[in-house]
Amino acid sequence: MSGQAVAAEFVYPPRNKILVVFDHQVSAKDAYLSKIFNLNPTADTQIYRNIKWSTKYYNVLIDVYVDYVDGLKSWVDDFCSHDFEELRKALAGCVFIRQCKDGDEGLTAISKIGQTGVIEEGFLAILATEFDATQERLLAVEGELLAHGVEMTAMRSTETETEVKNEYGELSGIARIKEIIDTFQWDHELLHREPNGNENIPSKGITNNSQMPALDDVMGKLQEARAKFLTIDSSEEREAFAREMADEISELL
Amino acid sequence: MVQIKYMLLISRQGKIRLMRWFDAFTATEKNKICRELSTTVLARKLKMCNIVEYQDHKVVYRRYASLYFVCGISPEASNELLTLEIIHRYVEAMDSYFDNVCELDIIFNFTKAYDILNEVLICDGSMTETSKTSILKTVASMDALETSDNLDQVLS
Repeated sequence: MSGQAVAAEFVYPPRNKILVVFDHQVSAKDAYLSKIFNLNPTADTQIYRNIKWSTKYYNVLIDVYVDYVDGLKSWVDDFCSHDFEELRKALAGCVFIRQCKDGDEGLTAISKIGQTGVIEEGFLAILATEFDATQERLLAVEGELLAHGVEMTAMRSTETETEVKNEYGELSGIARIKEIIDTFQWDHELLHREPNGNENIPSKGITNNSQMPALDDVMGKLQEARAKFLTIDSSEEREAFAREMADEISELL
Repeated sequence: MVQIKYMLLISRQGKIRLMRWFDAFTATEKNKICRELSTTVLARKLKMCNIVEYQDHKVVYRRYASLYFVCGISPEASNELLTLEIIHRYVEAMDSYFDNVCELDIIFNFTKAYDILNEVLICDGSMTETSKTSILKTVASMDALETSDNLDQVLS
């Protein structure tokens, strides 16, 4: 590794950290951590390392940092200051979990992070455990925040752990927070794809889905067979092996 | 008749997931369009009209979950409502192909998303195929060809 690469790694740690900022008023904080990140939170832990985040396409190991705040304004001022630059550069995103209301100063403070762009390509999301205003006002506030790069999603009163979708089919609440994390552009070095891929694209009606796993088996078998075939010296043995493999593969097909 | 100038797929996070240009634009113009339309479309309220006048042309957009499909069309040659239908047809085709398409499917299979789009819209931005079945059949045969190519590579 070149000196420059080492220096770059030192200056820019991997962007695999998610900061979860709880408002003190939020109850059952551990439950939120558990539902979003599928971890077992403990009261005295604020940093959870190497949490496995899995999707249909990849796995990534993330660190979850947890903070609890009373006044968001001073917290945001600190967060945006030069002292926290290193932390900001390591963050994939921030999730604020709080009770929101119309004219909330906290929301204004969070939108300031988006406005200043200090978190660069990281995401900013707010999970509103409650929103004390009309639905129309909620949509207006969501729109205002989105204009500054902050996405707010409110927990519906009926929300359990199941997915809740709005009229556009968009997920809301915890499910949307998970989706935001899923679609974050993680560095390629951090991503771990499944060797056999969770990427079998199911398609209805036209392509034959049932063939897909079989085809993977065939490919694997062929590769193994080829490697073994090359190690056999005798031509007779080779032919016998080839015939045997041809039979096996035709059975698979 | 519809002649689309460009199609963008923008996420609610303001990220461009797909873009296809059917008209000649410079890199600066493309950047400007992407930047301005991301903010314009995302800032629009739910009940606002899906047709927006932008620069010298019109923009038609449609939202599906957290994704916005945005098409720039020439006002003289195109029909806005038909453009909405084209977007819907494209989404339907992707939905069938991916079996309930989501943003992650498009991110990780963007080439397939482009392949499907290529079947829907020809290179000048006009619609080339309206049948979802035909679109999916063509994409499936492309997949089959790709698989047999992979198989040939292993066997060679």
